[in-house]
Amino acid sequence: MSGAALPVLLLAAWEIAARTAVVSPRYFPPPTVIAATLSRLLTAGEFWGDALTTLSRLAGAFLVAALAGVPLGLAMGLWRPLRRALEPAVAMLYPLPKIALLPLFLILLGVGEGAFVFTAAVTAFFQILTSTAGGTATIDPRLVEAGRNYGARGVTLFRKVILPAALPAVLTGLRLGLGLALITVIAVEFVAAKSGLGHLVFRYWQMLLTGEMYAAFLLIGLMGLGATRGLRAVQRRALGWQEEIGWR
Amino acid sequence: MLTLGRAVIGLILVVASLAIAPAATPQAKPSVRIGYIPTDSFAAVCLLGDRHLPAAGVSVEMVRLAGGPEILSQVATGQLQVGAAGMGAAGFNAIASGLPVEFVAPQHAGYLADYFTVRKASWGKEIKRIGDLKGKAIALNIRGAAVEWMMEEALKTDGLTLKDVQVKIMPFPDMVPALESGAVEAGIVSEPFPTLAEERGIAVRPLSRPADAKATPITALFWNKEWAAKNPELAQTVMTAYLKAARDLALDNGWKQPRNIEVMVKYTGAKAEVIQKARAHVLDPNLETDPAVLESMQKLAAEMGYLKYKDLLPVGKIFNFTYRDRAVREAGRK
Amino acid sequence: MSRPVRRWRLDLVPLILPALVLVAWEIASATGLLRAVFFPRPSTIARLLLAQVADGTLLAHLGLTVARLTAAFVLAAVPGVAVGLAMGMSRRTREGLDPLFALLYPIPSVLFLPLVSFALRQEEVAVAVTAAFTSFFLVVYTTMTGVQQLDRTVLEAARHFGAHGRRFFLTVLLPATLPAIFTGLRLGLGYTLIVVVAVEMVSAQRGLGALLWLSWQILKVEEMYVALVTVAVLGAVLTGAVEWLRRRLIPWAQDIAEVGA
Repeated sequence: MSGAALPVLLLAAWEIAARTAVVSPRYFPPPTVIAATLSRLLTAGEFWGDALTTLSRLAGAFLVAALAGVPLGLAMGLWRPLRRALEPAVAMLYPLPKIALLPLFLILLGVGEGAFVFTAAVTAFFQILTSTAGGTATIDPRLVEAGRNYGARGVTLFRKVILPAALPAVLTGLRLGLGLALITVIAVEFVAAKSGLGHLVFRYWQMLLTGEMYAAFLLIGLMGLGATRGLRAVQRRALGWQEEIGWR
Repeated sequence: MLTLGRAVIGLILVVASLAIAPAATPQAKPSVRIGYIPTDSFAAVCLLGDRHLPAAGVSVEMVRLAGGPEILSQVATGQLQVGAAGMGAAGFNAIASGLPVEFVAPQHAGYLADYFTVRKASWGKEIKRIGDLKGKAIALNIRGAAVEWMMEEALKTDGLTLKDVQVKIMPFPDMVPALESGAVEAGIVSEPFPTLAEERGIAVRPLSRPADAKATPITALFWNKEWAAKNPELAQTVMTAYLKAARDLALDNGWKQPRNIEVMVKYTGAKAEVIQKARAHVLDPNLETDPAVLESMQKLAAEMGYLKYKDLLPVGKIFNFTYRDRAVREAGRK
Repeated sequence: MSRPVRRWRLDLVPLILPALVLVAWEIASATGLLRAVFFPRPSTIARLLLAQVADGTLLAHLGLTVARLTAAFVLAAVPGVAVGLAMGMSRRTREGLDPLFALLYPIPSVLFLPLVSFALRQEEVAVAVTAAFTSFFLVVYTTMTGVQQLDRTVLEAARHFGAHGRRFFLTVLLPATLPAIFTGLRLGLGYTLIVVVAVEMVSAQRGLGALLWLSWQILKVEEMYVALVTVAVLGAVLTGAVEWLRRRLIPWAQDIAEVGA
């Protein structure tokens, strides 16, 4: 059975359930209504400004998280003492919902873009760090030995053997981190911002306009989908030698 | 690429904001940063910042925050000068902790009859009177604040206390589906949600306002004490402008006037028609508030274990009415 | 390249960084560099934590959060691994479901809570489902990429030697994917905790998230930190438990850092 059939089936089931009031159409509007609302709002010029704001916050958060997380993750994966030193701190800071820390960040950084971007960056940072460190630490040692046997040392070993071997884990971490950054940006906008898609979701919920709220969710989802597709394209370029496995 | 540029800006902002300390640099034009929550009960503060302070030659930045403690903490650390929040344990604890905030005027009050909302499906059947709420689930949006006090007072009229009901905390919009699904039987709900629930036929507000009823103070205006002490003229200007804002609302059916609703729409994003239909909040045109109620609220907070201190604060330590008194004196009572 | 470091010194290293931070914080808070009302001294927090453990209140909240966490994690992990394996093995499944998942993943599930509560009526079920949402996608994605990144030559060799269908799956594919599955479960568990706490902050009356949020709302900041510390410790313990389990079940996954760089 084609995998694409499943989402279509789910959407059809939802449409029917909402139209026949099996589920409350007020809180679960039919997908067709959501799609229509989204296109209406987009053509009316709504959403664009807020979408751009969210996107720029996302980009800022992701860049900061990646620039900090990848190098530190590689270092942690390669050098055991560093890993041991940082692991407990990471394990303890990671599970704190950063949205719970937002009031404290706001006190330290003041209300503004800096605090919003920082909160999302921290969430993504831990993800990227953990994935990168984990992936680097579990590189097949035979690869490293083989590289050494061919005379690679230090920087060359790193560039030619370790980095490419770690790349899949790094890219997994980046993709997950990107999603988490977006989730956090939306959550922060919901509670504390005056702009952005998350703020729009808040406004619509305050007016109990569920159709519009779902339309905003859809747009957020599309933004995430687009961002991960972009990252996937980078992944394909970087991992060109890795063939994808398909069994059927 | 646009996103890259924005990302760089984002990066710079992060670094810059880490380096910036709360500033008190003297400027040519006086400026004030005001914290607010996007709900129409904050109309007075919105009118202050949007209309009357700029008219008085003060430049204003309105800063949105998630809730009362966020605004309190931002004002306490001096990053905002003025704010408003619910009267309750957070404010009491803040003052008792020695934070440099002082409450200076009420912002809005309400009548229980306008807030107490019951499931339509239950009212008249399982729930005929307040006493029938025993053991049932009741929605409040927060603990330690005026809504909890209002609920306690309502329950007391029929021999119950908060301990006899199941309190469920949720934001106001969430109360509407909760009432509809029966997750809660009743709640203390703030406009426009009771009106929305009534329109959908899922809830009613069965209580009526007694003739001698006094509105319960719910939110209040406060500012940074040190800022006010260093800038008494500016603080007085703020209070005078605030009095004007309050009178815009309190007089001539101000809560329903289009020019005021316009400002509410601007800051809350709500629809004008919805605000029109909802019951109005209450604000005294002379910014008076009942100290006995405040004392009672503090007592309840102490009983519920919300306070960090034992000896109750006198109202004089919580509220500083000197600025308000001067403003009312100069403008004349209404 | 790296000299053998003495055993006992290695064990102390993880303590250095947190200890330094705590000392610095204690001093900053005590001297007023950090405002103690919002950043209380670690010693105050510790004392309050012990008091709350002693009178049982903290453990009651902790127990509730752990119960919700378990329910949500099972809800996320079991279907997550299954779907992830399916998507890793079948291109068609992957291409069908991946766009749908990528669309749903970025939405903060906490925002769904009032809707899910409305539909499901049962509050705890609604909490578990909402908390499982994002973690499900995390587990699916890491499991799927785990399968995709398997060394194809090894798998082809196994096939060449006659391993097919179920035998192939159980004796070759699954063991080979286990490291990735474990990483996914560890991430999923960590993230489930985050979302459970976040959901408790919005909705629950008890639980660590509820304690956290309510303490902040009445500005009993020390209690908020007690809740934060408990969540942090819980997360660290859980991570450690998963790691321990991983070392027991899949000891063959070697650490490159052990081989030396």
